[in-house]
Amino acid sequence: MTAHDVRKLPRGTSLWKDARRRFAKNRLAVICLVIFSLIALVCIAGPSLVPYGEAETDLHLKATAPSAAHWFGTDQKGRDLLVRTLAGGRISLAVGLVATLVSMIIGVAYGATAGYLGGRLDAVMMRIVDVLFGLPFLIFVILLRVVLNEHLESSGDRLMVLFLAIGLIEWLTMARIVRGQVLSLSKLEFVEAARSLGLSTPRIIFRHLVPNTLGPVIAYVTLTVPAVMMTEAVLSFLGLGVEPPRSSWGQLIKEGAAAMESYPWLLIFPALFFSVSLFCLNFIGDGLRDALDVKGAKD
Amino acid sequence: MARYLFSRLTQSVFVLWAVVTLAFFMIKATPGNPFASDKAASKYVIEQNNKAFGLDRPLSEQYVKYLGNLLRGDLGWSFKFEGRSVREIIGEGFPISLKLGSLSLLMALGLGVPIGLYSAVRKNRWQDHLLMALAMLGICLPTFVSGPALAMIFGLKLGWFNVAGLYEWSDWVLPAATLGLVYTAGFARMTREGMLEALSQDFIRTARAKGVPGWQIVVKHALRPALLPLLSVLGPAVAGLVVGSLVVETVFKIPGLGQHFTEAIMNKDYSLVLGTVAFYCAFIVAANLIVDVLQVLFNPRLKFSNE
Repeated sequence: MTAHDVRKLPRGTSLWKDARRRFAKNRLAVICLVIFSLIALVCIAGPSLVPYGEAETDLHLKATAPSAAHWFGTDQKGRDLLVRTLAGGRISLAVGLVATLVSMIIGVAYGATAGYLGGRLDAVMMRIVDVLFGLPFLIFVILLRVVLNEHLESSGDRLMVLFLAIGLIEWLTMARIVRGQVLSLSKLEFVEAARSLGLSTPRIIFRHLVPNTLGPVIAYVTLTVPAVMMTEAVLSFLGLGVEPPRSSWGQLIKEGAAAMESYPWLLIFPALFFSVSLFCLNFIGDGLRDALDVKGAKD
Repeated sequence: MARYLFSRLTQSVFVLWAVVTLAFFMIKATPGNPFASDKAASKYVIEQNNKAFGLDRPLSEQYVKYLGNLLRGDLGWSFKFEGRSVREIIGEGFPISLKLGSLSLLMALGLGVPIGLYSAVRKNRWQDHLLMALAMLGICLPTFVSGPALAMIFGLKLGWFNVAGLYEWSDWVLPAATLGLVYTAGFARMTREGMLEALSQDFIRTARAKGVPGWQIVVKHALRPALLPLLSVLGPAVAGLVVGSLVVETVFKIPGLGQHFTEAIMNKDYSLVLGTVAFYCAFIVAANLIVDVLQVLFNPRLKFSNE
């Protein structure tokens, strides 16, 4: 066969190329991806472009409706809501990312171990997941916050604990998905080959099995981010999340809800950013799930 | 069935014990004395209070005593509301929260399931797309946004309902709708997926081949398997409603257990916090147990594997 003939053959396609093509066909998911990228971009870059500081107060101004000088209006202390919304978005997105990462690490390790080792251990480990699913985890995050708030001096440390605590509660579905994947993968020949080469169990799990679960993991990670952001917002709303002077969307919504009768814009703008982000992330995740053909990722 | 029930029951008791123990030691690890924040708390008063509540005893002794009292249904006395027992406070708040949660769950089942079925039957038509986009919106709109928004529109602008407190029957509408909205949306999505899955099964094709009319396939053959996934999330849904009621009760200023709980945390009323956590967990574990049993009863496949 000459080089000329080879070029005429249909080009090979990979799992990822297929997935990209399928995702691109899903118009809603693509639109959501664009909108969410824009939101993330303005939240990252925006605060330094707005001529006001996040904590900069103007007590003569007090609460004013949106205007040319303050696009989103100002709050009762005369702080610019635009910069506060964008800076709050940074925190909300950061919580979403970091806590999701934590949950991913726990979920993948737990699920892969249960799925590969199988048998009784698997049954017990997955039963534990079932039980944990039914428990009111948020209540334990609240307790953890109460305990640690008294122990930790710096608010930065407390923010880190918040990240970890939320990550600790969102790993259950991830564990189920990865376990299912690994269970079916571990019956394939390449695992048999790895085993007969005498590789250690952790090496087989983490070098050979886990990389093959990447597709479902990515799809589900995208669905975990909005769940985590929702948890953070609930905590902030109850006064147990991000503390002033930092703000998050949850925190801003809480303040806005308290003043909605007189200054509705204080509720509308943060709520809009928050809900649109969640909406987009959910549809992106659904799109990825369909594109990568993930099974068992429901609920 | 009896063996299954017994094993689930022992498991529930174990879970409950683990949860209460965890909560107990977490609370005890919180530094600072709950009485030290009182305005005129002299050293003597703090000591007397500690003694009265048994806080001066070693931790292990306190723990054993707490578990013993718990078995007898005694949750101790509130640190902050003088002369009121934790049990009394829970007894006052819980019926309100239970009613709120039940109304929301009823709304979710009564609205969400039909919407999901309709969406599944109209798969990929505009009705399906519209309903599912609305459902996603319902999921993404947190209760602390939808609650104030509903209050603003129906309470302040239209004047149909009061926006805070519980005085007349109509005061239940907005809070229940707020809490129910999230679950209506979730149940609608789940029912749709369950129905699509059920409709793709072989026995449905057989029914079709035998000439069963379309509506009869949906109602008679596919409905039961379609609703099974919904049944399996009812347990977690109860846990979610408990957490959700924390927010909704705060938004609408409803004196239910959720509000007592958040207030107790702010007040450092640790006996009330611990008692409420124990009670919540007992309630949720019981709900999960009931759902598990229902699942076995309704799902012939599970029934077979358990007997």
